[in-house]
Amino acid sequence: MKKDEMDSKRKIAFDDLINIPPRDPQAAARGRANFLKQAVVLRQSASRQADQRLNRGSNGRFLLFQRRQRSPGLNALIAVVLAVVIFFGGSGVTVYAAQDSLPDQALYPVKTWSEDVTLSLIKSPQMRLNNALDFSDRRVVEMEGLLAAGKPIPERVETRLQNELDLALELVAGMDDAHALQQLQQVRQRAEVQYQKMAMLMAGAPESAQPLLLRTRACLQEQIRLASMGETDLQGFRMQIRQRFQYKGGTGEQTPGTGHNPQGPGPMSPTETPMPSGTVNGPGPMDPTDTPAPSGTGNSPGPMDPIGTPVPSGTGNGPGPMGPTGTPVPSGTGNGPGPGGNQPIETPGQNGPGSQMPDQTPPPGGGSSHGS
Amino acid sequence: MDNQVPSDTELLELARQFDQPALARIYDTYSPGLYRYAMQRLSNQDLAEDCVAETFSRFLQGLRSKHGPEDYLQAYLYRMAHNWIVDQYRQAPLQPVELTEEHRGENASPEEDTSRNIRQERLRMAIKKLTPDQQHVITLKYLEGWENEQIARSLKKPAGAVKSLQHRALASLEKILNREELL
Repeated sequence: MKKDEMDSKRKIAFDDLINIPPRDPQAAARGRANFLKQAVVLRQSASRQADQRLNRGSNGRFLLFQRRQRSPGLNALIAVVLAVVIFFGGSGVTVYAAQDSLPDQALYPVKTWSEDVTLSLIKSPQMRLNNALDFSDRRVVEMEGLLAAGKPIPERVETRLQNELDLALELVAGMDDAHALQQLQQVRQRAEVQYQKMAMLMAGAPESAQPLLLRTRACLQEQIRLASMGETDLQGFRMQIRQRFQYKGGTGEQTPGTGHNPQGPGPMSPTETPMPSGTVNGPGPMDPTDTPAPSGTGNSPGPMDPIGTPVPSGTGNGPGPMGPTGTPVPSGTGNGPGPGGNQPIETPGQNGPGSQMPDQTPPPGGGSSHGS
Repeated sequence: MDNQVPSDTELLELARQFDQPALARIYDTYSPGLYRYAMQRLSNQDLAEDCVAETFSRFLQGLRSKHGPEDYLQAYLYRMAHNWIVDQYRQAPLQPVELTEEHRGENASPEEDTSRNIRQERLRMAIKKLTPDQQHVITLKYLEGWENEQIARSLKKPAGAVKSLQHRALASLEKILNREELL
């Protein structure tokens, strides 16, 4: 009885709560309209998805995942593919993990290796340019990281940065005019940012790091100058780039896979040993680090510069050694290739680095490759 | 035959195809009760509207993802509303509601109004001190007049569990109200 009484009292109390203020009819109508509107939207999106599923099904793109239709042979194939993916996936994880490493860390070689591989695999000049610029940004970040950690900056970081900047210019020089102008602006802007960064780093860097930072800054300054010049005088820029690599004479350390022809460097790696020049009657491939053979000592065109322009410098029967850019260097009075010569013309990007550029200017001096 | 009221199952079947009349019917059938339920739990008209809107929105999402209700639509909707309110409590504890004009009765004297309002607020505050599931049970049982079976479906719990939940809720409520009377 006591319980019933308590329940009754409580019931009365709850009854008080049952009376709530009436709902605003406008708010209720709005809520209803929104609900129905949302339903329309969801119905449309659901029917689109259903159509897509139907199309996918009819195209058979998900055949592998249709369990009932899979044959045992296909299962085995999937197992093999999965095993390969898992195996190489591990390597992929390592490469991924290496991407933030600094030069003093164990994974840094993996990082640089992955960059080299990337550059050597990509054929599109535009994509290579983008990568080269991205990698140059990484070098600056690495310098910053090392300085922040109070560690010295290894020379190879600076070298890699220079090579990447060089590659960017080479690639732009090989593009068509409209494209080149557009990309020169990008190259300049990136270099300007890096230059500013370098200036900031120098302000807080120890004395021992100053020489390297100074060199890097000068390099960036030169990059900005060349890119700016290119924006106003593209032909002059191309000439400068050609001369620049000619001057380097193939002795500069090149970033692997960067090649020397912006349009399509050959697949040679920096460690690859080329066919010795002058041993065949045609222009042979050349390693950028090769020392040019004595000029004019044979019947072959001899070593080539990195962009494949023959360097006529000898007095022998061949065109002689090539400069770093492959531009013929008129340095001798011999029988190097001249106009109308029989020297085969090759495209370095197609036939390997060190090949002669198709647009090379025959050197003065005339005569056929094989001399007279 | 045309005037025959479709069952929840039939409505749900149509709702899965996003049939507008069926969805409108569901809204018209259940939104007033949901609003009342939300008002009793939240004591705030704006929040109660939000609760109703969000409940129906989740219902549509459920239909789209094929995770919507199979049956017992009412229980499903109240569970959605309950979950939304619990989320609200977690995000920001609800503030005590002040007495305003909207609480004023139309036919009672000012003294009676005041006395009833005080009782209401005391009970509301006491209910809000219960656990979310206890609040849900008390609201549905004593304010909405649901049977234990219905509440069990809305909580996805056995009816026995709901009964014991209800007992514990009442005991706690009694204790809270008695303590407040002593204060």
